[in-house]
Amino acid sequence: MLLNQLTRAIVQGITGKVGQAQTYWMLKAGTPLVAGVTPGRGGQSIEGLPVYDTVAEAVACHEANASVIFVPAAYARDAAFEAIQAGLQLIVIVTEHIPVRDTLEIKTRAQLTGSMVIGPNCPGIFIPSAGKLGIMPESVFRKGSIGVVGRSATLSYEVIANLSDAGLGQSAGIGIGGDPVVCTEFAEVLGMFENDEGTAAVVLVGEIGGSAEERAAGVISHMSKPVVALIAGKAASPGKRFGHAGAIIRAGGGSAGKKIEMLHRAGAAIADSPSEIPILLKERLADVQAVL
Amino acid sequence: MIVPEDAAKRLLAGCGLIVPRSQMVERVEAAAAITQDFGGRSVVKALVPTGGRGKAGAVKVCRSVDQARQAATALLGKEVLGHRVDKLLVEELIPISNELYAGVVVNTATDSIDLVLSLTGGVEIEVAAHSDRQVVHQLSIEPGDLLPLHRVNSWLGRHKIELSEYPLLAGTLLNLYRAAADLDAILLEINPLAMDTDGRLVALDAKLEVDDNALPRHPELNELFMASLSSRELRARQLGVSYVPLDGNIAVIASGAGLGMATLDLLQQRDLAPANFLDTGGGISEQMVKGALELVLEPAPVRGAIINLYGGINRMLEAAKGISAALENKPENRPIVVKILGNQQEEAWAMLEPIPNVHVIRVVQTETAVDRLKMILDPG
Repeated sequence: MLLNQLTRAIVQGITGKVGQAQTYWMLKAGTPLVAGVTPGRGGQSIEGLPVYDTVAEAVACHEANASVIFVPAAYARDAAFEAIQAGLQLIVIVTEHIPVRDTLEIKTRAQLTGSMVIGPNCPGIFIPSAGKLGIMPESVFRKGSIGVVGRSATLSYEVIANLSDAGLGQSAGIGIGGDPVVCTEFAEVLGMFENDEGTAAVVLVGEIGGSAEERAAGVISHMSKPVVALIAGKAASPGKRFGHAGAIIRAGGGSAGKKIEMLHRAGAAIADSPSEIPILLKERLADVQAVL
Repeated sequence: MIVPEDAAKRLLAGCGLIVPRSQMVERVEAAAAITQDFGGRSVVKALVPTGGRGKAGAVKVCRSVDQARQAATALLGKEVLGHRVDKLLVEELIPISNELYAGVVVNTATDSIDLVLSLTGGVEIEVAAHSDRQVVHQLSIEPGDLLPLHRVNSWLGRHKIELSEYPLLAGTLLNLYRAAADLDAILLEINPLAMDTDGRLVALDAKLEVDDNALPRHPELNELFMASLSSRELRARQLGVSYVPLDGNIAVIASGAGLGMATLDLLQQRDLAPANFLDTGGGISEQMVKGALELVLEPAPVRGAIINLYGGINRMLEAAKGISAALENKPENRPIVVKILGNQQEEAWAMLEPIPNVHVIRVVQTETAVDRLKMILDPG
């Protein structure tokens, strides 16, 4: 699932304050990082990793095939283009505040080449015992078989902490990002979890705004594995923007009620709060056991 | 940000679109004087950042200086669609023969930039768009595409749009599309786009919403943006947080929009209404949290606060120091429930627990924090 023994990842923006600090934590979590890239800083070394000026050099020297991007918003589009151009298969963009038109261009280009881009404005991916690309805190995770996919970083952490607290470990945590346009959507991640042998059930952490949850419902209705969903923003009033650019209800869609209805109709169990998720999951998993 | 109409039109004029001559005024006599300059005719508009002004009676066609004076008197100081009218835009009255609608929108459902055209412009476009899709034509453009003129031409041809000034329309639409790209517009809407009696296409109105994330590359908009913020929003911005004022009486701080919204949902389930919502985002520091707490406690109706932080990267001791510093400055008798988890949580709890009226929650469930606040505020 996304990270495995073949992964050889680089850190774009490794010499920045956040990039450097997160490189330390990613290495500590056992992530297979091979190099860093910051234009103009080639030849340096960060946390024991060699730094290159370009992604192409890092690929040439280390056969890198994945990247996590921490570069500032103003340069993020170019950094993503560079990673796509270099043929990297998996690119996680942590950077927030990227203009939506830039994200659309990144998404369009990635779809042409087949690179998988996760984000932007996302905490990335965490696979217990395989490592992480991004900023998810290792401390909330326990190894297990629940796949978690969410838009909001900190709400996903709370959900994962609740699962761990209830003895339900995770196969993976994937944060797809809080912006109105993200490059990989719920629907694609749900498909990955459905095909992943290590995943027994899935938790979807959604929120108001956009239509990604509605599209996810289309996938859930064909899934064999149980899905529990939480939608944040039931109390939010239309037109107000709650920090995430994506978390805004525009006229004509994106409300919590509509999303909940579609997910429910597709067969997902709907949780009212993060702590209800483990209870619903245990019920659903018991049902699956009973059938087998 | 929503760019005020007068500024939007100035920007569009710079992109090759034709806009009426106009002047922003704040006084009745100035409106009269400008109308005199425009030959005794004008359109007087309330300068408020919202659509639907025509229907709300906030756009007045004046055929004499006296009428302009009356229109200005009627609008200034009045409330229009939730906004107080402090400024008016006085424009020359353009004799028109036909009204169209044209817009460019970033379509997040289809991941495209859409050019939208309707030959029925004016105040009823929203109604028309919902009742009869035939009248609204849409061209979806791949992000990053420069949009060549021939594509606009063939699109217009495909829809059998019969307008004598066909090439003029294609050129105007192209300018509009490129203006939206240059300005990083999420939405650029011209309604009406009017054909005047001289055969020109004139943008009589302009609704422009620029992507906030793109503002750093538009220094020309910086001053307008700062002017559009309330004093609390401005302070929030200086702190590096986002602040949303709401109608209730519970102050809310959360590290992240999703966690914040989940907290608001739990408050609502317990009949508690948020007074505001402050999202710290990443990069939590002592100074930021101190300023954030002072900010959310400020509105008079606030009865209590909930602080819900998750420290993945952020050191939570910094947050605790910030809370402590704010309350040292100004001790609180209102309850402040704090749920802090993650990096350095034990140190943070130890620092906060001795502070009067601070209630520290040590579990991962936000419900526990909300229940505690409910119990303190509405016992029994």
